[in-house]
Amino acid sequence: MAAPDLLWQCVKNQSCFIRKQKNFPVMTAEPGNLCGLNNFQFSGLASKKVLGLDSKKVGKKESIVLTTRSKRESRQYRPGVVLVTTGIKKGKKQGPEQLKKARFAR
Amino acid sequence: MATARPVVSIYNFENPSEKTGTMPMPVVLQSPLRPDLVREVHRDMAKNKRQAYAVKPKAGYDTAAASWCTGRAVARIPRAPGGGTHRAGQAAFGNQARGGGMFNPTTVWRRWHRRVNVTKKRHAVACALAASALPPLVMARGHKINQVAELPLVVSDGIQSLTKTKQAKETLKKLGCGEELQKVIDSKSIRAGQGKARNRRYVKRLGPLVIYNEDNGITRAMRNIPGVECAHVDRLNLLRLAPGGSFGRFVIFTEGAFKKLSDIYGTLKSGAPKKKGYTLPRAAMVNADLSRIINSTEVQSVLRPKMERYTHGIKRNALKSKELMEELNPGSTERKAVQQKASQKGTPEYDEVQKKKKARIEESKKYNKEHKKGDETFYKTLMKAFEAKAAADAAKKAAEKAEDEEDEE
Repeated sequence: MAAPDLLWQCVKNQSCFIRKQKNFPVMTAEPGNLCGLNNFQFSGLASKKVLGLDSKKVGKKESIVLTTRSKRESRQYRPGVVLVTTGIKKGKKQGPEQLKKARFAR
Repeated sequence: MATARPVVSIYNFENPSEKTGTMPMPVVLQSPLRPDLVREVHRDMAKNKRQAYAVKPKAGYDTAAASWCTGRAVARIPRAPGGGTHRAGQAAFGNQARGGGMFNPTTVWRRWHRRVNVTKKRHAVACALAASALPPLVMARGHKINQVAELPLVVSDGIQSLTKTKQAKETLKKLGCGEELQKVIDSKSIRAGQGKARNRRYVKRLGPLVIYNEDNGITRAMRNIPGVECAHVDRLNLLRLAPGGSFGRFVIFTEGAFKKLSDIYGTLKSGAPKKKGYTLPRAAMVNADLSRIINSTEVQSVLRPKMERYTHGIKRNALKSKELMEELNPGSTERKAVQQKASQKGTPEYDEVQKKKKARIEESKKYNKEHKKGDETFYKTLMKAFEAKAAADAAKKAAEKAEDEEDEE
């Protein structure tokens, strides 16, 4: 798999996910980007350490979903499986704990 | 660039959830990524299919117009000759004149085409192929590949024998391209601009590029599926691999085609067997992973220890912060404490101060008595001297005056 820095150079100006506005930092809509900002730190495409937080609505139930990138070499070439989603508990204590763990794992 | 060549699975075209085999990835697909090169070559290659356009050579000059020169109360621009019609006497030839020629007429002998070095073109194709094997790049180009099992997607050779479009569509959907195909269908819209009136009415996105080795019906099966294009391995076109100059096209290889890539391009050592005198491009930096390099033991072990950065923190004012004052001027708090105590009656410090004060005053009195009283004070000696002189002067004056009186008498 190509180096993250190299991928970032390819993708930073040229990506279908980039959204630009006047007087606003450049943003991206790619999955796995926590802040939606278009920079290497948060990139869901180029970076090996991917962290994304979204809400998913299935019927009436709305759940919090955390996206991370699988570390397995074999999964890097498999687009469907490379991003791993886990649900985040909505409990006051449990949720933030899970997030902390995920952050340090990143 | 991987040190060991990853192994790519081949999917059964009839039942894409199962794999019929594996193959090591051809070295082409590990070429260095050069978006700048691809963009440059694409830009020039794209110019090669242009058709010339120009205005007629005689446009605007097909009159016998001549200037009327000066003296006739009209501007000096050439005018159409003759009479009996509105056209007579009207301005002609200039770009500003109605019916005149244009400024800098477009010509057919404009340099429409560009030649690109063969090696450059080959490098660009290798690079574009490599990009098509990387999910982030294919995603960034805009292809919907979330359902696709693996990239590069290699399908067993049976797909080359498909004859019916319906079957082809089914196969593609089973391979995970359903989202992609739907994206193309949804994207069909009327072109913006004059092209819509020039037989280019609709635009739509591009879908997968199917690269095959033997055409046993596949091109005809695939050609009516919107967005899908087919290409033979031997004749790969950069304009198809990197449409618009952006690499990362979603590519589907057939087994035969995938195998043939190694035969055509070879390795860095062997050179390309089917392309005379050509070797695949080498990366300027074999290991481009900067963070890995920086954090490696080889580098870390040779670094000097990290410099401690002096952080100032918040600036404290010594006049306000007693601790800081003590740091800067050790003993200042003690001194202050002593001074404080000295103003409180009854403390030994107070007595000390008073004693000193008394002694000082005594001294002063003593001194004053000696030097400031009596006849030897500064003032008195000064006045004495002055008086002496004053008396001497007065005597002199009196003597002069007496002389003058004498003279007058």
